[in-house]
Amino acid sequence: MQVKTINFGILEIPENKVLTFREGLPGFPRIHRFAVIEMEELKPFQYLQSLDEPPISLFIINPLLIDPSYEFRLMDSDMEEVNSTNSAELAVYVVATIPKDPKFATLNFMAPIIINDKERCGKQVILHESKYSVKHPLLHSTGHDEVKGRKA
Amino acid sequence: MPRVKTRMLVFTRKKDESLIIGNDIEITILAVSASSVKVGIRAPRNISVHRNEVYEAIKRENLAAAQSQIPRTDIFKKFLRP
Repeated sequence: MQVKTINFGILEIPENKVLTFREGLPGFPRIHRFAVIEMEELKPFQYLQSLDEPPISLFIINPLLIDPSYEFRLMDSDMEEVNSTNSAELAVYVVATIPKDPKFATLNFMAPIIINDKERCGKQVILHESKYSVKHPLLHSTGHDEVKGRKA
Repeated sequence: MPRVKTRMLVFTRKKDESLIIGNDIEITILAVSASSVKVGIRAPRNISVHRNEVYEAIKRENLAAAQSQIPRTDIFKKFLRP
């Protein structure tokens, strides 16, 4: 199918790349179809392209590239929504918010996106009791590492 | 897709009393104090429940993320682990 994107013109999306987000996303509850698009120039980011209206795209990235210790518990309702019984099979991404000055880019570590490739569905999970931030800074300096050391 | 119409129903409940939503969801008042109420929700596993302010924060962040500039990966690559 063809989708007219905001940033990348018209893209051809094969049917087998279409992901169903049963509940949409918070803020975009009526978008139920997405695709994960890879572009060489965006790596290591990918983007989650809406295939419904509005044709938004969200920049996503593997959270382990930023924090290798990132981990969270999934609820039954999360697993059920992506037709999965084994969390190891799920792909995990976090959404990036990138303002005009990219120095201030942040990642939403409190609401990761889980995708079940096999079943072609996904969901943005809101973590309960989360020690993670909605605005986790993308660029960490030595200051960030010092904070981690203090908490240990 | 048409917007779902909602209306607010107001009930007064005492401690240990409950409400049933649809056929499958039960909300019970577990404890009442001067400044807060402890609420229990019994629902099927496919229904998620969140604190409103948390949901709103995620919603705001998604809306902001949808306005993002294309990331300057030359800057970011330096800071990412291999």
